[in-house]
Amino acid sequence: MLAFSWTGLILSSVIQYGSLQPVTEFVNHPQSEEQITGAFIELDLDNDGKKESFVPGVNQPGEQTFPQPISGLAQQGKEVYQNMGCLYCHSQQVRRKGFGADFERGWGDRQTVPRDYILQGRVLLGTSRTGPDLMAVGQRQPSWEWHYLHLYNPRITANPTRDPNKPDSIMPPFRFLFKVQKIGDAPSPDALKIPDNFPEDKAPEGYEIVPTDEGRALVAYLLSLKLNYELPESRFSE
Amino acid sequence: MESWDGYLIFIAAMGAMFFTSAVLVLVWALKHKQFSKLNQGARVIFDEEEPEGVHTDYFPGEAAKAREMLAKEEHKPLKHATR
Amino acid sequence: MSPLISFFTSIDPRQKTGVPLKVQLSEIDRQMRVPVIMFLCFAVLWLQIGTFFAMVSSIKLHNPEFLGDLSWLTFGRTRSAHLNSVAYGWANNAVFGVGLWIMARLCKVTVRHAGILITAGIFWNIGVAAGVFGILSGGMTSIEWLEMPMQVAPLLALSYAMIGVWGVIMFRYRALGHVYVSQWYILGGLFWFPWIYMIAQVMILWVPARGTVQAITNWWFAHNVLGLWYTPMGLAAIYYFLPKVLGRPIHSYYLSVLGFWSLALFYNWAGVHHLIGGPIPVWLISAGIVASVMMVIPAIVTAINHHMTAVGNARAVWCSPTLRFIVFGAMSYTFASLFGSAMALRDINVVTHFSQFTVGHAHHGAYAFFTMVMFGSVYFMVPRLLKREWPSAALIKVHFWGTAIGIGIMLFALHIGGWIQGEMWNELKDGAPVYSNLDVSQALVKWFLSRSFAGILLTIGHVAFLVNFVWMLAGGKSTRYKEGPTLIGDKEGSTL
Repeated sequence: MLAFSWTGLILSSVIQYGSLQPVTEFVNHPQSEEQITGAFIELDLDNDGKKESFVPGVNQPGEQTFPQPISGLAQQGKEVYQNMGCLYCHSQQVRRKGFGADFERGWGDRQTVPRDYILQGRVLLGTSRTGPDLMAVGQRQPSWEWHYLHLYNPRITANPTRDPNKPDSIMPPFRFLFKVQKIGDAPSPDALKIPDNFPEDKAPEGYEIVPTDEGRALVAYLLSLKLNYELPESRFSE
Repeated sequence: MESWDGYLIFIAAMGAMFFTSAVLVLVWALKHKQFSKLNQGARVIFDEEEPEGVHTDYFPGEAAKAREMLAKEEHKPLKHATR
Repeated sequence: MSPLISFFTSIDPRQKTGVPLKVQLSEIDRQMRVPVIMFLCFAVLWLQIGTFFAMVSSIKLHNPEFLGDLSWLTFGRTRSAHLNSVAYGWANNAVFGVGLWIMARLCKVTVRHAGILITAGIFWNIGVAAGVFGILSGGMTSIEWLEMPMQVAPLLALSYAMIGVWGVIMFRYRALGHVYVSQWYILGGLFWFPWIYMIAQVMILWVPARGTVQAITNWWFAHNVLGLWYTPMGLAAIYYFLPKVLGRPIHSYYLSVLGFWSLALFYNWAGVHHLIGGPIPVWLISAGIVASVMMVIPAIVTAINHHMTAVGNARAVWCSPTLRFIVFGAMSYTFASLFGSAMALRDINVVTHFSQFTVGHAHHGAYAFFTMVMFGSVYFMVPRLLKREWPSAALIKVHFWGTAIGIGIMLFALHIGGWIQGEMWNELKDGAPVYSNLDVSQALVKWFLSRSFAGILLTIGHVAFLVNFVWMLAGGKSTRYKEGPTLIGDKEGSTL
């Protein structure tokens, strides 16, 4: 019985995803490291004796394709996102317009579809929204500074005036992603500017608060989360 | 993801194996008359020490009291009582 | 005889023929004593650890600064440490102890090489401890129900194999005759768990599948581990202890058998309802919804059966610590199943899906049903294994009331609060959201506070359980056969 469901549920979707690939229009960037076999052909277009691979009729060599894999610092940041368990309060999926209010909340301009996730090493859809969805947080909050302050103490960005009548954040602080250090010749460019309303969070005189490598990577990852491209099966405002 | 095919075959084989085993178990159960005489089957949990018709669990130190109380209560005859 | 053959002969656990059943059963209890008590010790210990992490996580949700500067105890890690401690620590050890004991009694066989079982059990718990440590120290995978670092999976799988195999061996050499429905459930669970666990490990962590196939696999696993591992074990215990303690067979044994096969058929499709509205093929979601609704059948069947068996015996249920817990669990099973089916409907799911309602539902099934049933089972088994009474009736009552009221408040808070949360997320006026993100999370605080209060009651119950359990193990003769074994029939001068 179990096997029946197994084959039914997972295998068939694997097969379905597999059969999607040959018609994939935006997946294989010729220079991308994550190439999907069978999704493109190889031809020597510029007659230099070396064959280039591309999807016929759609992608021209050198053209940008989507979704794009994340790399470098953002990839390291994803590891931090995972091991801190951000997923348990923040999802990464946008439901279609009319099913929930994901669209109206500005969590994405379109519904997310399977293809949005195929280049992700680990898929972090999430099933809980104690906080907002993060599928496109990099577009919504493009500022490094905002993210640093928010991670250091979410209350700073949620309720900067500390007005007791205003709703406050219940997100835990991630101060351990920052370190206090002595100011050198000049203040570091990414040192936190803690507002005066939060004196207890300020560094002592002559010291500054800067993100650790982990903190910097996490913010790089958050900023990389964007839904700023369309796919044939999911257009903006859908 | 180059070896998708081999992976698929492996999974499919495992799936087929499990499905077959589930069917075999069902066939076995039918063959061995596991679905007949269910009324007797329901009684295999009882034994000499804890026979049918006897309550076997009380709060420590409160068994005598509980037994008395249960005895006093007008007790319907057990539906499937065999003895 | 070759060593191999002699080993296979040596695991043959059948009793010699001609031995009276009474002697056989007491021999089974004697041989199962050490491994089963060991599993229960681990279970009770993990329950306390899991409760600790639960309390920390719960407080953090309304007091985010609580222990806020410790990266090891950030919310995402403590809630996962909680889940893994109670799932793989408490629940699995309880299943090993309770499941194998029921299996041995019903098969009327015993474990010949208890040493292997004990060793495997110790390694299982080393694996769980390493896994929880891994979660706290930064190795968390962020895959729900599989948070432990992938490196512990082989150890867990191997230990499980060495534990689960004894259930299969017992079944293989069982006394001839009818296979009781509890045996079916336990045997099914013993096969299903390793299968879903290994598939999920391989397809998500070791050779990751592409894209959202991971999410489908994840929820196929996470739902099945509840439905095809904990649920069958809980039901097996209900079907064994409920009629056993009442001294009357199950109302309709036919329905119970039907319940088993329909559970096996429908449950495993249901997991995808955790992805309704998500980026996976729509037909898959529809299949999951249909299967979830079909789950009404086994739920109703089981509900009728349990109700009809217990009806008219309310006082007997009340007089038995085992049945207080087990009947509470059986009733919760019905409600949790019906809620679960309803939650799979799109109109309801759109509200409940990302909310605390789901968290409430998880505790409804895993605690109000499964854990309560396991508590009841432990209260029945340990006196028979140790030939000794529970030292304190009062502590059992504290345990019952603490957990029953605690989980009641918690389910109320999470279901109502979760529903409000879901409605607030979705509420639109003129195409714009009515409540800001902060409004929604702020509205949750009072419900989170209620949950922490419920958690305190649960903790009191668990500590009472721990004290009673340790006292029982260490108690010795003072409590032995105090007034005649209340539980073990009329042996040794009972007043019956």
